[in-house]
Amino acid sequence: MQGFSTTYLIELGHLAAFAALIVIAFMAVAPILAARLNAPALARSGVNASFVVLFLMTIGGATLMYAFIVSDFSVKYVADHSNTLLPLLYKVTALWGGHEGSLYLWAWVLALFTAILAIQGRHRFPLRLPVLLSVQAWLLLGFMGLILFLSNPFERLLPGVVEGRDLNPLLQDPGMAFHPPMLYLGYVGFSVPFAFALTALITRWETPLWIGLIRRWALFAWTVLTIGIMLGGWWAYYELGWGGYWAWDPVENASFMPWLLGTALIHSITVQENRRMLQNWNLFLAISTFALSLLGTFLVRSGVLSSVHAFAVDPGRGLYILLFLGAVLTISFGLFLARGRTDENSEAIGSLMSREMLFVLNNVLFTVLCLCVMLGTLYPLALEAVNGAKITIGAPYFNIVMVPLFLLVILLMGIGPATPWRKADVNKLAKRLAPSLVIGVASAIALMVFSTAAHWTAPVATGLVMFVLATIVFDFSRNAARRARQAKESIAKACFSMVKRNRRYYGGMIVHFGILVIAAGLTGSGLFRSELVVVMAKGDVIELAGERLRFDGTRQFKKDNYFALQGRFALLGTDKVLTPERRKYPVQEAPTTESSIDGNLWRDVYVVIGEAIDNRFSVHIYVNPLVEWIWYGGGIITFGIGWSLSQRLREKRVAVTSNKSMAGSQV
Amino acid sequence: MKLWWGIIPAMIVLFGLLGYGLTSNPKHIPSPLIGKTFPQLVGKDLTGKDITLGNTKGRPTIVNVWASWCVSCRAEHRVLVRGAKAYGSKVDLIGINYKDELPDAQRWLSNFGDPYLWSYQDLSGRAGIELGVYGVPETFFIDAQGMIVKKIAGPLTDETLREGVELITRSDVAAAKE
Amino acid sequence: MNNKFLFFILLLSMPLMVCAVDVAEDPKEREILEISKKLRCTVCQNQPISESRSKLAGDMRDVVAEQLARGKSEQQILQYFVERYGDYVLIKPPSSGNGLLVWAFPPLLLITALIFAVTVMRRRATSTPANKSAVELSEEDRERIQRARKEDKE
Repeated sequence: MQGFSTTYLIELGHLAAFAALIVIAFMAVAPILAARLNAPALARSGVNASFVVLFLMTIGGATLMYAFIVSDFSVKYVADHSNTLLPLLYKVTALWGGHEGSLYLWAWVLALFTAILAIQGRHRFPLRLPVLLSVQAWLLLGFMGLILFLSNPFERLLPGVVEGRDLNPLLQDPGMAFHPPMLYLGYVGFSVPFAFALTALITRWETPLWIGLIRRWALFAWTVLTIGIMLGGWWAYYELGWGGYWAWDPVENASFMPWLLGTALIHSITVQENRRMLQNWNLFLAISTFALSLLGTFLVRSGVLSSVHAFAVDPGRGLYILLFLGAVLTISFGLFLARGRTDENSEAIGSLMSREMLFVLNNVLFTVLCLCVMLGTLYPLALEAVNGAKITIGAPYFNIVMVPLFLLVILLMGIGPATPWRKADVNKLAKRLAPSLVIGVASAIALMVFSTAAHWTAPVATGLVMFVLATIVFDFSRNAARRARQAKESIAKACFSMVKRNRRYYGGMIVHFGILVIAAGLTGSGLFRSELVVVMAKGDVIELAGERLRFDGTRQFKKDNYFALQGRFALLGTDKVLTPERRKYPVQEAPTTESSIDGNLWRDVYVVIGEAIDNRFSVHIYVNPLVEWIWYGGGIITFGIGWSLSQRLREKRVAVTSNKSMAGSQV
Repeated sequence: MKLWWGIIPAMIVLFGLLGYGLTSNPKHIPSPLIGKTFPQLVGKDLTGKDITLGNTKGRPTIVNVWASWCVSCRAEHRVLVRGAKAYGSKVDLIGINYKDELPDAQRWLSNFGDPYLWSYQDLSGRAGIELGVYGVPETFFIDAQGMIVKKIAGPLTDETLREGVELITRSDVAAAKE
Repeated sequence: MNNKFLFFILLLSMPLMVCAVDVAEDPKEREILEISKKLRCTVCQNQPISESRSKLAGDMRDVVAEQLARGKSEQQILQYFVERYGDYVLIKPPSSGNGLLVWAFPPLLLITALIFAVTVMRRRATSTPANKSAVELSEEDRERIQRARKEDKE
């Protein structure tokens, strides 16, 4: 029940949020003021300001979370998204279950990262830090303005209601609970490279001096975004009941576009560090990746596109976000075009056949991928604007367009690491790759012979995956053999010490391996899936792709805040029982289906129970080969990045005689 | 460096598009039936009598899709009741009772008034699909030749009803002149 | 044989007999499903009617079933819906007319981008800068950095 304390507590949070807004405004103008008033201390105060902002916003968030936990329905947002019967975990995660709260989470993460940046930069780059913090502050200003004036989670519903409207049943799920925070960590994580890029353009900071600083931020952001997207796909797979995990829905695409450019960015940073080139690409990618995060925010919350996942429509908010996005991009790209000259210090591409060139191709390929996703997502809108016609661009379009491009990426993944820097001898390269190529082609042919998949992408994908796998294995063994010889170690010890020493390199190798595992999972579950729809009575047995299921009837029960009808299916030949359900949540009145999955390394058996017809039931069954590999691949990628990032950071400052500035060599 | 300037036209197009997007309604579907003849649908009216929907007998006709369970139909209903009085001499107003139980429909009409000449009973929703109906209410404006001149998805207002009536009666006048 | 015993055995084996009824998919259901996957639910947000649980989607599926029963082909059924709801009702955009551009763009984009990348890079590669900038690292500096890097690796 609402008490004196909770009523005032939420207002405290509201006040804290407003106070944060004021401090943010100060942080935004501090460097400008400092320059005008010639007060360097003012510039430095941004660091403390960032801590104050984080503190205040944490108070705001904490009071909101408390309101959810005690079910304070005098807060409108809590009343709209919670219920006393809601399990505690979901009361907490309901905080980001709606537009206002999720936006607040976005802003809070931004404040958190700003504070971390302040700590990082205090000693490492104190001169540029105020501008950097100012950039972040302007972003925060935009978000907090939106939150406090147009989407306020602290809004009251006085007098409070007795019972809340409950959380959308689709969100009452562990996967869905953590998918948004992961995504936001990724989106906001990319604000750091963005801020660095802007700071560099504003203060004319040479790229080589800061590119190493953002490498870890970019990798971190990319990884959590990958996890967030995977969580979303995994959740969609077991929750939505159509046996798939990715529908190329506009909101899914909104998260995928920054991921694509983010992938290009993390690779392009490598080139900048190693060979001092691609500065313009890095600036462009750093700006665009974050711009796409903002664009995603716009698309999801403005009602411009129809999507299963979209938040409630509100063109007013949409206009604000669009104007904000417009301002950010105009300033960023404006600065980029005005000041992003090719650095005189940077190198030029020596030869077309070189690793640098392949990285350029990589950038181009991922940009094309991103543009294709954008095209498919926005084309219906463009067509409507031109001649009023409406068409649908659904999953089949994207699959047809994107898959060949991804196959090219995989090809590049095999050739790239084998290609030397500067100038590659094509003959030598061909000789080096030949054995892997043979393995790849042989695998493709083997698949065509042994399988019945009609689509051409199956053998091509298989061939490419095996080709790249072979290059990785050969590369690894070659290095291990060399090390064993040179360091006089056993092969096994050589492998271990090699991987332990050069974490960055082998972390990357592990990540590429993870990508291959995912590619295999996508190929298996995408092209070799079996499905059928059948009406079953109790006792009926159905066979699909070698799996036999027997329907053992249904039972009904009540749990927490829903009623369920559960079907029981025995997987013959094992002792597993699959229990798909149809649930009804009385408060939201939205029925949901819960699929039941028996998964092992080689396939998932996936069952959904449908309508009742007399005393029989319509049952939808899928067998998805290798689908678990997608999730395992995600785990491998995460481990690989973690391994790469764990390379001990040691700064070596080497005095350079021929230049005024210090050249740092950061490992 | 020069190529990067391509960003500018790209941004202009993108923002123009997104701005347009804010004004458009993603749920609205333009009807391909406009300009086509209204189909003949055989069925029953709410009293159980056999009738053919689409047999306009040379009169401009308004076909309105409604249901007792539809909340927006309630607001639109007053507009139709007024419209039936005002334009009943010039146009026929016919209803399609969409996916509704007969007693519910009859009760609704007796409670709120029946502006329709008669209403076609579409319990299964097949007539709706035949007409490309995707929501309730929807209204078709048909001229005297039986051609669908306009379709409005969503509730009518006095204004939109008047415009629609003018559209189909004007064609009627034009045809009469030939 | 003892009749009672036989009867008892038969009785016990009844559940087994009931359990072993193999059913198979109705190919007609399959066809309905395949066609339903190609039609978009017009009141839903981006779902085919095979997945949507809305009433209209159910009605549309029923129409597909009815038309199949009457012997219509997939093409005819899709055409039926397009005539009434427009191209919007197709999950896959048409490859001509309104949909032409969206299919043509990706390959055109890829080819254009690759051509640009190669030509721009080739131009840069052939025009080597006459005066490599003054901020070159001297040999001595290079060696120092090399050494430092080597130390880090150990």
